Amino acid sequence: MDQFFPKNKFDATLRLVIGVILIGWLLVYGLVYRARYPDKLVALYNEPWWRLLLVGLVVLSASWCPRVAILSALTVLLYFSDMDTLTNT
Amino acid sequence: MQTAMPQQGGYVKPILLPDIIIGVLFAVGITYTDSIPLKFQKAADSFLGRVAMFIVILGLSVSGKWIIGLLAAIFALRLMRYDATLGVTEGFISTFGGDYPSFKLAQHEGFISTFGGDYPSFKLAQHEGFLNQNENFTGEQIITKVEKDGNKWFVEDVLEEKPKKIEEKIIETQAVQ
Repeated sequence: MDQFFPKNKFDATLRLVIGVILIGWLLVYGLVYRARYPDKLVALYNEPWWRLLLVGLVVLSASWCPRVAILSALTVLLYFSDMDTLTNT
Repeated sequence: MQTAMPQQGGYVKPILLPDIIIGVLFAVGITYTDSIPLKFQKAADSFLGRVAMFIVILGLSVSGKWIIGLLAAIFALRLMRYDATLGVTEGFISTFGGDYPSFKLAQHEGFISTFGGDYPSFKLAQHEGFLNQNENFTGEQIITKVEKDGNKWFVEDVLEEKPKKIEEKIIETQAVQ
């Protein structure tokens, strides 16, 4: 798959930076049980367009780089799951 | 019908209209998982449902449409929450009597009964035996009042709850001898 390989140095750097940011987010919020999500993210979860936008971002990242796509999918999934647990009544 | 276009590095499968429709359906499914009836969630979370979903996701991923496979995987993982929903409802009714929303109930149970908020629910089962040793086994309802310490749960923090004291009911049962 062509998508696995960066097209130039800028592309490679961007993939690395976004990947590191996503891993950092996962370590801080996704994998720590008691970590508090920002209030805006908690409020935005109730908006369907926000959830759809995040899914759209996963699809976009998938069409760019599979590694980033997997990380972003995991991030979005854990965020949805945490918000589900928080807001489901 | 489109055909696969040879490109540098191998063949890239073209995105067809049915793929787009399936992708959009998965995206909507991920967004509105809460609206899916519980009986479908229960079916998806059964053994057969999980096997079926695994095969579908594997099929989609192997067939070259891995983006749709990724969406299907997210959707499947979102669907597999039936057990959690059931447990939450049970705990909600038996323990909090409507004063607390049903979310994070299991965590609250662990928090209330033993550790004052420092341990999540998976520790509860291990320590319940310990708790029972200090109380009786008569099968009566036991009401335990626990003073709230300074640490707030994430849920309490977000919903601006200020619990001062927590009351818990435990109904003990014994196996038939």
